[in-house]
Amino acid sequence: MIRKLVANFLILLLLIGSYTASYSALLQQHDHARETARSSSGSWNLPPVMLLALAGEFKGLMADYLTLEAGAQLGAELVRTPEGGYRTIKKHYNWPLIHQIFVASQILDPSFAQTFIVAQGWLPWDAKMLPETQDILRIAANNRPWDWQPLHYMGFNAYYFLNQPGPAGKLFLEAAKTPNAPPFLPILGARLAQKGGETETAIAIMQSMLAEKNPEEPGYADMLDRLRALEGVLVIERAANNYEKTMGRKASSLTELTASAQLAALPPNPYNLDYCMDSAGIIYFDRPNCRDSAPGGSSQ
Amino acid sequence: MRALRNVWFLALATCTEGIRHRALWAIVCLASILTMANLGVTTLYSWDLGKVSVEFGLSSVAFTGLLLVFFLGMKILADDLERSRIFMLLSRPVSIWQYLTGKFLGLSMILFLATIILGLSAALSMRYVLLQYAAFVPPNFSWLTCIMALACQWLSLVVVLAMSVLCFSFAKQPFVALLLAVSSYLVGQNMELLRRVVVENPQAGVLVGQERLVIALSWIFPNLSLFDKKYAAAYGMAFSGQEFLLLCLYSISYSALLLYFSTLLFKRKELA
Repeated sequence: MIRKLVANFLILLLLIGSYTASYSALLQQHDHARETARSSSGSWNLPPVMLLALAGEFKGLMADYLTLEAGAQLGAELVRTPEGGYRTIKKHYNWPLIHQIFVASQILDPSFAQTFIVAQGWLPWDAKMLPETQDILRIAANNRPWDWQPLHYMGFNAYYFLNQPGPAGKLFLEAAKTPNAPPFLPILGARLAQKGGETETAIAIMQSMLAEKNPEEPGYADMLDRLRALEGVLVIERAANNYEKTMGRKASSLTELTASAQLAALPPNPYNLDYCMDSAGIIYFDRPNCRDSAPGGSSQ
Repeated sequence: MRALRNVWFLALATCTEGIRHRALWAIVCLASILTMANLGVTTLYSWDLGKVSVEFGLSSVAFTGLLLVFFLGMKILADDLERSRIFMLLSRPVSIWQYLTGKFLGLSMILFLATIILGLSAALSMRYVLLQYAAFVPPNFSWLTCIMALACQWLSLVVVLAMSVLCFSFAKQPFVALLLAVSSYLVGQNMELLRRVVVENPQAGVLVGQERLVIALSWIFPNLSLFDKKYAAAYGMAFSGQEFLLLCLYSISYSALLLYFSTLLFKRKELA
């Protein structure tokens, strides 16, 4: 009887021991393999056609899942300390992989906002993947004709990271054309486009936008003022170009320009300020003392 | 007239048999689980919550419908053979086409009931999410588009069911029929993609020069991706009534064609 009990106990012990050992080993192996597996495989590494074929009619759901997967890869990591508390450690990100997940998600659902917004939140900043981000945003903009945000982000990236006010302004103006775009977009876009030497483009886009707007709408008067100011800048810019062609040098000031035959008088400024030309020849409608500050030293 | 009456009685009997399988109760349970899951899953996202909710709701209908076709539908068909009930039916003045059509219609009715139950539960969860997060409702969102997408989902399931009946009509083992039906579904889902790759991409690898074959296959297999309107419903995109009618026509004609071939093949099948 005792021998039987001991034998049963030993068998039970053996089973529990082997179960515990095998399960804990499996868990450890799984934890170790997870990092390497994530960097080397996964549905997001498949070519686009394969990904689409695999997702079948559940493309949208798979895109949702991939976006969650990208979110899980990002952010800080909490690690338990020996004292029982937690400390935050900075994770080592595999940016090419994370970018690939965003691309895969966008292949499956090119309109999903979460994809391009999370991508914009990380890729141009920490990953320094600006061209890749712009590609993601362009695809989102093409597939979300009702949304001004992708183009707005593209404009921001062009201005902030690339220091290209002209293209940034054009992107803001493009964003401003979408329905329900906030009223600051055309004003900001026009300013940046003018700063980047795209005055004519800014005027053309603003004219087309005003043509589609109701004069009673809020913001219409502001846009009209900005258009008039830009038209004034364009008149001065053209006169300055003609001056340069005729005299072989740039005009040093607006006074010199008006004194010549190129510009009889300065156009009216709807903001009741004097136009100003800085030492680089850039015309301002809202900075009457532009010559006092260093060129390019302050933000527009 | 007698033929139609036979078909109708068989359809009703099949539908009742499906309900007796407690399939609808399982669906009701699944619907409530998926509804709760929809509410939970949606909160995992920060943007486009409306889209996530609609897509999840419609996908759950599609997924459950597929389970019903492949498991309940095939089981009901196979049970007739395995329990020799088919001999009792065919010994009466019921022809093979009446038998297959009746079974098909009965199973379609079960799918219809399931789609309605799941669709309603999905709509309730979607409605809650859209009310809760009004800022994330797509600009042109329309319930009509959602209902049309749901109807397209049912039509797609009907086509898959017709394929399953065809596979059942010639396969010797129910398991083989199931495998063939699942394979046909996968091919049907990707037919449009394959066709586009071959037609639009001159560097399509092994498929280069096989355009005619692929186009021929795209006519033989059903193009199920045409019925997938989840994306349109989720983003409130335009979905014309004309397209919807064409899809109805496509589904009915293709299913009828498959039933016709099923009848021909079933006549040659060794039942004993």
